[in-house]
Amino acid sequence: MAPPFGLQITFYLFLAGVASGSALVACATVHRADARAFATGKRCLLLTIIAMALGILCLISDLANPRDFILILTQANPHSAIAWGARIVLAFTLMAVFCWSLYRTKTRGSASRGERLALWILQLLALAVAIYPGFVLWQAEGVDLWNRWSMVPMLGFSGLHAGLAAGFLCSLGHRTAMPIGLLAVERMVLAALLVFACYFLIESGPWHHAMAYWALFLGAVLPIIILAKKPENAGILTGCCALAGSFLLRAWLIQDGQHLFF
Amino acid sequence: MPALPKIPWESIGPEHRLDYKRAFMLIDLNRCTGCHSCSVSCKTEHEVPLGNFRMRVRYLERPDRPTLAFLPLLCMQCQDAPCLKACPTEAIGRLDDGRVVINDEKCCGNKACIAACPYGAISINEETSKAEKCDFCTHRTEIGLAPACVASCPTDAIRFGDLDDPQDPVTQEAQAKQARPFREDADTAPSVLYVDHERWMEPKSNLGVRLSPEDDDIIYEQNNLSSKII
Repeated sequence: MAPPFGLQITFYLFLAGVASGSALVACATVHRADARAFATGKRCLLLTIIAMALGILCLISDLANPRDFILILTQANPHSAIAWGARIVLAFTLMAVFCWSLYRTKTRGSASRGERLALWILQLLALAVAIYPGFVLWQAEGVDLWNRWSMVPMLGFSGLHAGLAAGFLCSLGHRTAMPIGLLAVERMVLAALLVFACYFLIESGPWHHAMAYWALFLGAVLPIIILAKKPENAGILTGCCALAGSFLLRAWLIQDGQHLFF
Repeated sequence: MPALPKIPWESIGPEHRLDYKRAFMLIDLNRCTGCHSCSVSCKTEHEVPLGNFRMRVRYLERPDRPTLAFLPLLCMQCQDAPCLKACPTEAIGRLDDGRVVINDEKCCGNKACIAACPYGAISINEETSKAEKCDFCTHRTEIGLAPACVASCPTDAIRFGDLDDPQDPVTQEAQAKQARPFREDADTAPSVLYVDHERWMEPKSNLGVRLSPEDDDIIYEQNNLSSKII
């Protein structure tokens, strides 16, 4: 019998993280007058929509029947984290599409009251999408590796960092397109990710699959080293490392969670 | 009330009993011989596909002497069931007698219940892609028959009764033998109690009912059986 959770869930967790982080980058840049920042914001909005569309496809393909996704949305179990998550994911995707439609035809950034409100709502939903997968895994009492509170901040910061990294990749290496505040946020998210990932690895046992250590190294340690050295292409390097680390982390969690405890 | 069907070769006592305040099972590990008749009868009764189990018997090597202990595992019908809370579509519900049942129509197969169950008692039926688990044979007990595993157990190691009825002989036996739930730390108020269950069994049994031929499980290793029983 195959493990119940497969590659689709790994991809979904990865794509949801990327979408949430890139939506935050979009919210910080798309209203700016600077042409590079505006272009980056638009690309990030598009990336958010594509990532969420693919993520929802992964989720749906994991169900017994694709129509059952509608069942999850309509049959409300207020105690189920997944039921809330499905609604948050759908609201986030729709909001990203709405924001994209606001800026799609524009050639430079603007921030009317309505646009600001839409971006604020998108930011809040992006944070919710970043946090909730960790919350769902934390609720899994049958899987010892997942059933830890530290899963929530670790997956949340990992997803946000992957999304921020993807956002920087969308800026095509022009870190000047990023507001200084966002660069500071990236460093804080990276530091928090390192702390919580180390805590999680120590708390969940001394020995893990090599994939876990690669995820930590690629996703947090190497980006910190690169940022400290500040080479010319630091943004692209850290972006690629963060995305690879983020995917490896989820692949390890899904694989080892089931391999060891199911 | 319509007359009950007469099935003399299967009954749960001198009288067919239909009403349970809290259905429960008592599993006496001293009596279990690991014969697998419970898991086989369960598979037959529910037409469980190859590779899936609603109930299975784990063979555990005892730490204190060179022999094996047998541990039948099934859904614990928890009063505080984590699967019930985890299901997004409310496909998992509770009957009046405390049994936790899955509604196939509502099940979307998203496996949240599998991850939530601390006993590993739920699996996905690969033919229907829906979740399935033991429900104490609701279809049998509602016409007065014992669950299939109870009826087939040759040593009466598995018994079915009403935990809220102090006159029930099975309840009295559970009290007399100080039966305890499995993995009390999970704090889910299970409705399956074990006699002479020992702590060392718990970490060794966490594979639950989801095992595959690749796993280290004796049911798939009949050829090596003699080497396991030293």
